[in-house]
Amino acid sequence: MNKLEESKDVKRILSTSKALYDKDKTGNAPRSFNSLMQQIDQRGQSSPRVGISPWWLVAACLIGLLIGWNFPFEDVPKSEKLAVNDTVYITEKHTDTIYQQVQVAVKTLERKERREAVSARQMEAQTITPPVLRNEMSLPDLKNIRPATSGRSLAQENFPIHLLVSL
Amino acid sequence: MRIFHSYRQDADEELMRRVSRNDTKAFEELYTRYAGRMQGFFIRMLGYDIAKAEDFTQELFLKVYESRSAYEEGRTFSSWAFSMAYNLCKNEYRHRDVVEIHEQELNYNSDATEEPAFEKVYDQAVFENQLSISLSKLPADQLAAFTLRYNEELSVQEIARVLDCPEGTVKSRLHYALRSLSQSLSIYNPI
Repeated sequence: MNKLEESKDVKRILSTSKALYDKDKTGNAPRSFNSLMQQIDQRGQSSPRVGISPWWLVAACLIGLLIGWNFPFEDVPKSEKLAVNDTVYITEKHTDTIYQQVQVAVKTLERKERREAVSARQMEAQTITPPVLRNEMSLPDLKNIRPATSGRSLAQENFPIHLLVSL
Repeated sequence: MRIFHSYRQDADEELMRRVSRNDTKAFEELYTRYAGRMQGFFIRMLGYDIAKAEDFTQELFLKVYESRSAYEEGRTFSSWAFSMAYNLCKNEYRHRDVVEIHEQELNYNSDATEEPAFEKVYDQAVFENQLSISLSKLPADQLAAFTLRYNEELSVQEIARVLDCPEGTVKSRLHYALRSLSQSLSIYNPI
């Protein structure tokens, strides 16, 4: 490159370009400094910068801290909770009846029957008592048992209700 | 403490430090020193469009003022300002209309095909005109390197910082630019 710079034609090019450059600079003076400052002021007025004071930042942090301090995140007592999410598993255990053959020694039982003479009125008083009668009335009618749509009998389906009534 | 401080003896970097402390007088001194140079650079880089060069000079100093707090201490002000100017030019090249460039190229081609008259060959005015045309035809990176090296007289190291490329690249760009110019202007050289 040094050789190229030292050649006659390149020297002429460089000197002429320098002269042209200086002529352009002197022939076209830049605008005044005041016009530049006016432009700076205009730009500053048209787009005012949003300055956030550090004091505002500190105040915002304090407010956030206070709100966060009083907010109950995990210390809520269980009784105040609106809803408790629990999982309920329903299982049904079914056991088939197993029969086992058991040999029992046959014994003849001799039973002595003793009959006592009881009056008819006394007998009625012993057998038909009001609680027994109430139980009798609350039990399902075995004659009208018929299968329900679920496969169970009506008595089975109504069992809890009858139990409650009997209590 | 000096009450009437003269900025004329201060270095550019010292002035820029003062500008970062909102010293308007220091900024005025910098503008006086560099506005002409920057405008000359813009005139050369923007194809001798004087009005655009003036606008770009104003825009550049606006940017300098706005980014005064971002100025890195220890960096040469001239290379910082020229790198900003070069970036402005690059943006302009990107936004320039393709049709306009095509038209310019056609004009340059018609000028180049014109055979200069014999008596005008050694005429300095014709030579200057052809040199301007040849400079305009150079690629932007070569033209910037050429202008900064031979007209602004910056060192290769400074140019590398301005153009954000290695020094070797700057040297090769300068070499290509010189070779291209000497080839295109070879007919004007005295035998």
